[in-house]
Amino acid sequence: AMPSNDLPQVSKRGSKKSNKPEQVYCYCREPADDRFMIECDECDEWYHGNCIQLTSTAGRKIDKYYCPSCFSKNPDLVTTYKNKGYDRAAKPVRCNECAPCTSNPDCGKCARCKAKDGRCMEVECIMENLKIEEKVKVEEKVIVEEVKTEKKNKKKKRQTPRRKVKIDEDDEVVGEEKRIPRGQKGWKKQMKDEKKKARKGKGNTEEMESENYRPDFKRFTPHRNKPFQCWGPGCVYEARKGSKFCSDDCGKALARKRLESLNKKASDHWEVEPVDERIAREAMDRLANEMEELKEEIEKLGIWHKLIIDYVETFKPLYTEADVTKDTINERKKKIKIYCVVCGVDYDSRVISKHIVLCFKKKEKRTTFGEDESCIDNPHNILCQTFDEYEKTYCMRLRVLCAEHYNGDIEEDVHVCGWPKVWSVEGTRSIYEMFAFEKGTDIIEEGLCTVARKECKQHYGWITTVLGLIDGRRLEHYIRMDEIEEELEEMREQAVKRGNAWMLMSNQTEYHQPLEQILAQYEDGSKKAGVPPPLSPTRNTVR
Amino acid sequence: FDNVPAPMDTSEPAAAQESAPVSLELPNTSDIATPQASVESNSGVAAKPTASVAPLAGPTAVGSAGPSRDGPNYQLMMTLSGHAKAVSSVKFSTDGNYLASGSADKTIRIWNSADGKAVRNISGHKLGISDLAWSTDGRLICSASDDKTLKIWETGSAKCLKTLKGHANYVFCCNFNPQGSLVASGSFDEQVRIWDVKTGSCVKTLPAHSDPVSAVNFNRDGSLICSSSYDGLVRIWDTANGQCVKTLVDDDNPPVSFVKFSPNGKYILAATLDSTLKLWDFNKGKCLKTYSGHMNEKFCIFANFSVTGGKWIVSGSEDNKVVIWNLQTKEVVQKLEGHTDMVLSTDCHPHQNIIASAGLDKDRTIKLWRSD
Repeated sequence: AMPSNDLPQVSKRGSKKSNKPEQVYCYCREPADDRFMIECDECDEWYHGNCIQLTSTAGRKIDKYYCPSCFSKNPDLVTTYKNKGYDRAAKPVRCNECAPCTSNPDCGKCARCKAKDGRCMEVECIMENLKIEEKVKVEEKVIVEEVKTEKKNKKKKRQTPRRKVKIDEDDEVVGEEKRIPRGQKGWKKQMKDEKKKARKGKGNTEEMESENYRPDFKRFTPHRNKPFQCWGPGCVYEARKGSKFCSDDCGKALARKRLESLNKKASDHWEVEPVDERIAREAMDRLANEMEELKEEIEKLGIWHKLIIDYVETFKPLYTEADVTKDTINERKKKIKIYCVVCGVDYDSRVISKHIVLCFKKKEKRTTFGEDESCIDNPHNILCQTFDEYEKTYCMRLRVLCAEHYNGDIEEDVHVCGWPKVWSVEGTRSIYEMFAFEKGTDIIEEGLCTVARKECKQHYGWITTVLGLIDGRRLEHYIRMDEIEEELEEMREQAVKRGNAWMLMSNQTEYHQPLEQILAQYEDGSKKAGVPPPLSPTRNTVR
Repeated sequence: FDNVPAPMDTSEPAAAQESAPVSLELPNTSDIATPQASVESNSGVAAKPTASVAPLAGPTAVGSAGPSRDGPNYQLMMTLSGHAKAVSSVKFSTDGNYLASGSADKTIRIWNSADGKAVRNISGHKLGISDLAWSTDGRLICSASDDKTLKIWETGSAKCLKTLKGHANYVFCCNFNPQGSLVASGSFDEQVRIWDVKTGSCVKTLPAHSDPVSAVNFNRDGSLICSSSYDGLVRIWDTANGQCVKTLVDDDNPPVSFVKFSPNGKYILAATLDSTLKLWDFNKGKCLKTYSGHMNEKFCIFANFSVTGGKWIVSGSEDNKVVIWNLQTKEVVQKLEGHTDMVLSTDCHPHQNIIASAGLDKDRTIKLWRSD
């Protein structure tokens, strides 16, 4: 603010640093140096502290300053000072009994100690603090209670439902004079009566009869109050109140029409077999075929199993007196060293077969191979299923090959080796080739090995080995049949989702060319590109 | 770009860009190189750098036997409707038997591409879906949604196998790698993330751009990822170590709305929001071809290479049409009309001359077009 006196504002001399004219203040008309200056609150002129005999410390205590010239003009403008920060006359609360009060500390920081008043303000009288705490507690209680009562009051206000009804003094008052608050006895009945009256038109006020009136009850919500046409197909009557239809029959007719439209969509959908259905059907057929083949296989294997069992029965009564060492067939064989696959030691070719079997059994006896749950049906007793007490598992080996638990019941009374010489051929053969007999008796066409069973080194334990092969094959097939069953189950689930009501309602295809043409073109295109026919996107899609 | 003395480029004047409309007429033949001759059997976009600018004897020279044979004749075959809101993305499976469509109504629908009938409705996302991708074996679909997650679905049973969480904003684009083991996704939070399909965990996070990422794509062997963003950059990353191999910049940098590798992996097709498509040789960092004649100023519109018949570039447009260009000559060869709203998403069938296109909110249909 520019000073409001008549003194010149700008010096004529110019400042020391530059020759520009500078702002000047105070009675002395000198520029503002680093000296302490104070502004008069009346005339807005700045005065040097030196010129008005005001020290800076005194000046800092001043609240409002009026210069002598203003004071002389107006004696009311008295310079006022700032508040000291404490009231000198006021006494701090002291009980003079507790320890802090009786001691006379000098903290050196508070205003009184600085003024060496002797009554330090930092002292906290214990009695006084207790009183203050109690006061605070009481106040808090009061506040909490106030809040509670406010809430209650708010709730109380909402108990009566809002009504827009104005009841004229001339009309009868609807219902009882007093409204029963919600939750109390008789409230519901009162509401129901009022509703009825509203519907019937008795006791209705003008407003209730008007077009736009909607009683504010949640359960009773007609969409409109104006009369409108029934939604039934082809119906020309007015809908009854509170419903979209004039009668029940119209409602049923509309529902029937909706389902029929679905029918049309469904018939369109299924008229020409959708490509996806075809794919899925072919996939399911393939799986079903595989299942049939597997069943046939299992039967065949069962026949061979029985064949071996019967054959063993036939030569059970045989005994041998033949001397092992003079077995001429054995002599003709060359002596070749072969490594045992189990222990790695090499043995003569004449003894290696027996050795491997025994070596394997020795090793297997030390291991367990089991699962916590037993196999429920165990067809044909393929699996061992002996419960291992130590491991609490059921043995899952093939029964006839289980080194731990097989008790040798099939070969119990067999004394002769009995190996059919039909099978003594060079090279390896599969089971199918081995059992390619025309009739059961072909198995002994060329005779059998007559060495004592436990001594025979070439064909040691052949019965269990062959039975094990058969059982292993059957086990594989059963597992595969389980897998197929799972897949078929999945596909049946998916089949339900295709072409069902939801899919029909939510999707639509429009053809702009004849459908047969489209399908034919697509197939041609696939053939040209040499792409294999589509497979359904099942789990086992292998590309 | 026409002034760049690239051997590839035909010295076609800017007239081609201006005379954008359905130009089945032959362009200036006097000094057209024989680009058709140099288009090799490889289904990619390769053009040998030594394409000689041999003057032709006359208009009836190599390849251009007549205007009707010069372009495709796509006709509307089927209209598939059913989505309740705008369809954001359509993709054919790798074997071409199925078409998947993702939409803002939070569902994915799978249709059979032979007869157009709906096969599956897949739902599970909490907000609309922006992008879809098939795995190469056709068993899995990955979808990117506005609820900040991606979901991997099994197509056969329509079950959600994995939910990939980690992005901080809308996930905008996603793609499988050719081996089917990784998913790359780009999002509005300016990151590109690479996820492992088997475990559903994020393997790498690439701080790719400084603006929303609009497209991610793997190349043919899965070793590179290209990503584009509204900040005008196209970046190429190494999948194995996540390092940026290249950044493609042009003179101007309008927001890039889509990017894709060519089928042979040598070129990159990038769409920018100034209604142009550019074909880059990314090894050299040069723009080779520019395609225009459509409208693309607001939305991220997919573009495709059509290699089953002639070599075309197919893209949607904001003027409700699907636009097809000749890849070599850059001229518009056909515009497919029929949608009643903007066409954002198109896809080409892998071995037949079928194009699928999808429209936005007012349209909500998918149209299949067929050419001879």
